[in-house]
Amino acid sequence: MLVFLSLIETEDERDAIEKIYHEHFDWMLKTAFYFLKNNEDAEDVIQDVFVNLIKNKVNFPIDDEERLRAYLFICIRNTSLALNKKKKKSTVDFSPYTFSTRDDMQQALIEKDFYNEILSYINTIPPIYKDVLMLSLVYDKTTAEISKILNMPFKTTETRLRRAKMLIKKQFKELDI
Amino acid sequence: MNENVNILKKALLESTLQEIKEINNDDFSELRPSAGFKAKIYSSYVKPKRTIKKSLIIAIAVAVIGAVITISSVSAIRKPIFGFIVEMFEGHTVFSFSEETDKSDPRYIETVYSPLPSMLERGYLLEHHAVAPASVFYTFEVEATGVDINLSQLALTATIHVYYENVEFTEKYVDKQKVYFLDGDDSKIAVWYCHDYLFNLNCHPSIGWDEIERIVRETIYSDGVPISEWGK
Repeated sequence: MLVFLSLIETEDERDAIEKIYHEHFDWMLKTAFYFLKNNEDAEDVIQDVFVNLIKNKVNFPIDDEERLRAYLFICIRNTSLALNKKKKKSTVDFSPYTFSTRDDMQQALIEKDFYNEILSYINTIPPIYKDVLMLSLVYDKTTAEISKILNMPFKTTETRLRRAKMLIKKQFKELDI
Repeated sequence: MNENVNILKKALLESTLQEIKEINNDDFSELRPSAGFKAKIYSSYVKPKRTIKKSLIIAIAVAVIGAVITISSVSAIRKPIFGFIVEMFEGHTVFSFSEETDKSDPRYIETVYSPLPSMLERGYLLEHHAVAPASVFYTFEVEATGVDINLSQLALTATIHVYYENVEFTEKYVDKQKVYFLDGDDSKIAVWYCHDYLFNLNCHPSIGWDEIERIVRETIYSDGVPISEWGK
């Protein structure tokens, strides 16, 4: 079966992919395994992530270690989630990301510092919303680009982004996003 | 207001980094990549050129380039000496310009050789069109069926990777022009080198080979339009 056709246009693109391979491969596989609890599925996800990085040609933050790592993490988590959904398995443990109760939220918001308040709240947001928000705000990606990066329909991306912003704005009215 | 958004951005990044840290603190001592997986990723996606055992170097453009060199202009001498390389290995084929290409002289698209006018006349719809310094892309839609045809023209810095399983390329001449064809379950591909550029066509399997050859032929016989005038 034909898989796909891709283009690496420049030496910079090739160098970026090589850097990711040499410096991040091991923890990428580990991260995929964490989500899927299955070696074979984890390898499929890593292969898909590499293919996606090459295919989509969306600039990724290659020179900033932390931002690059977070970017790859988002790609891995979403690809894992999509694979799991496809296979209709129930082994993926996304429980840390389920919504907290209102009481939990109130507890979290006891934090005095605004940064800590936001951080505490973000830690409770489901990853499907958090990741699109990350790509939009931290990486300045457009909805179309996020749709490509996460291999997700444009409409779904648009809806998730809108809901993510609504969640944040509902909690922090002073945030203009 | 912006300050608050910056705090949100910082918190988003921090939250994700915390998650990564937690995962990496977990014990996955049982985790081992299956045999050859890491090497497969490297050879397939990272540096296929350096790991390839079986390669076929095809000097297609020697005669053409030789003729150009006799004109003795500086720009002509800088043209690539050899054509492009086709590297084949299990499940993956790479088309790229040869290492002999002068990398100090990066090539950009100077002239567009396109079947666009003819395809529009035949009823194709131009769905998407993009021009980058080193590439020109089109996506056409067949109005009756809604299926897509993707065509690209690439300058010398480009590499095309074709990933497939259990599908062989076939070589065929279309009006003395060597073209590589691939017939996959969900796509038909043609790759060819002419006018000093690499072209590839990737389309739905319902498109007939006669039509694909026609598009290749139209590209070969295209007079070309300078990039500065393209799209005007």
